[in-house]
Amino acid sequence: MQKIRHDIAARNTGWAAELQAGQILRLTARTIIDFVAFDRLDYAEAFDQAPTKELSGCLYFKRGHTLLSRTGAPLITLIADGFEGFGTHDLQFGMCGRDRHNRAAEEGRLDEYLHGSVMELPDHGCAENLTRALKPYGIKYENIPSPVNLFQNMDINQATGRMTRTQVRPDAPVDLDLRADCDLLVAFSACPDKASKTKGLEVGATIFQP
Amino acid sequence: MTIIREDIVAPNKGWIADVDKGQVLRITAKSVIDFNAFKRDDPREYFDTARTRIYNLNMYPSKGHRLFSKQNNPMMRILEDGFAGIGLHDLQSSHGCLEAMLQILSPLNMSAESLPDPMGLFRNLNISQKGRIRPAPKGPPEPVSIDLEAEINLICGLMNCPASETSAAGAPCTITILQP
Repeated sequence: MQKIRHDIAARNTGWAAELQAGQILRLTARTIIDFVAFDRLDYAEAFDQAPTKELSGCLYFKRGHTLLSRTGAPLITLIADGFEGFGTHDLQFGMCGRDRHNRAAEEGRLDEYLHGSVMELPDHGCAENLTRALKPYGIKYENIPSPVNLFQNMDINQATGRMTRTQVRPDAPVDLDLRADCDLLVAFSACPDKASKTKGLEVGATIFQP
Repeated sequence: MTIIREDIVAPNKGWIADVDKGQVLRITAKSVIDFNAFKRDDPREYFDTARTRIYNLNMYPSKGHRLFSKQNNPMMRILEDGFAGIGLHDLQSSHGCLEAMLQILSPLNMSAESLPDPMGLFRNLNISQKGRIRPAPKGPPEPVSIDLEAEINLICGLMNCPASETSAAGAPCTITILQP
């Protein structure tokens, strides 16, 4: 495969790029990544969690699963998953961000959400990172879908529905390979991951032409 | 509580109305109801399934939970849930009656791409511990009520879904707005 582009997104920053159909995006990380995708010809055709889960019949995003748009168009497929066997990628949560952190602090629920009640909260998070990364494309916050949260391993009790964050992350960076099913705009945030022991790390993003 | 308005909605039909802050929306049904809510002052702020799951740290909406907007603000609170013990409401699925829902929400000028995912009331799913999701219709034998209190001024829209692989029954439902 020919390497087209390689970037490192620093902790708690956003990244966006265009992908052509068939190109492969390799994300290399051991930290939570909030990831979204849009049809490049029509940004209203954005990734949506619900139809994605309906097609896969699965609560989690696993190898072989395809992210769908709200109207059911295939956008991008996970073809290799270095986290497989260690943890699962999340399709329940939205994005962290300043509003979200502030509300959790006000409610005295930081420990419930983030594994710790005493912490310095960042002045921005994934909501701000994705909004900034997608601003050049004219996409506003209300039109950024709730993401797939890569490496966000959740403990979900099927009977009660109770969801608990875990600190399960890869020990060293691993690769996720995603194949574009159509021409796309993709974006992600290298999450400040306040629930983890690392509090967020950088993410490698490499685009390959097969 | 005083009844402000009460409507019977047939299967495959929808309903839209303003619900004021403090009022209670009572949905009495044995069929699946797809439900959306929008902030009346600015419908770009809408009920969001992911935000709601996060705030409640639970994937099933139930009594005591609040519905949150994409913009992180509380919109409604579930006061009572007559489905508890029978089945679980759904925050995973997309719209079952998309075209009809767009028609109902036409005052809001929604497109298929911009219509937020619904809360699927009375749409019971079987979710395995490994994450496998299967439809598991479990309608109550007789209609039961869920009471939702508006925390801000809202526009609420819903579809009464017909019988299908995800809906145990297609039956009329009753929608009531109550003023405490």
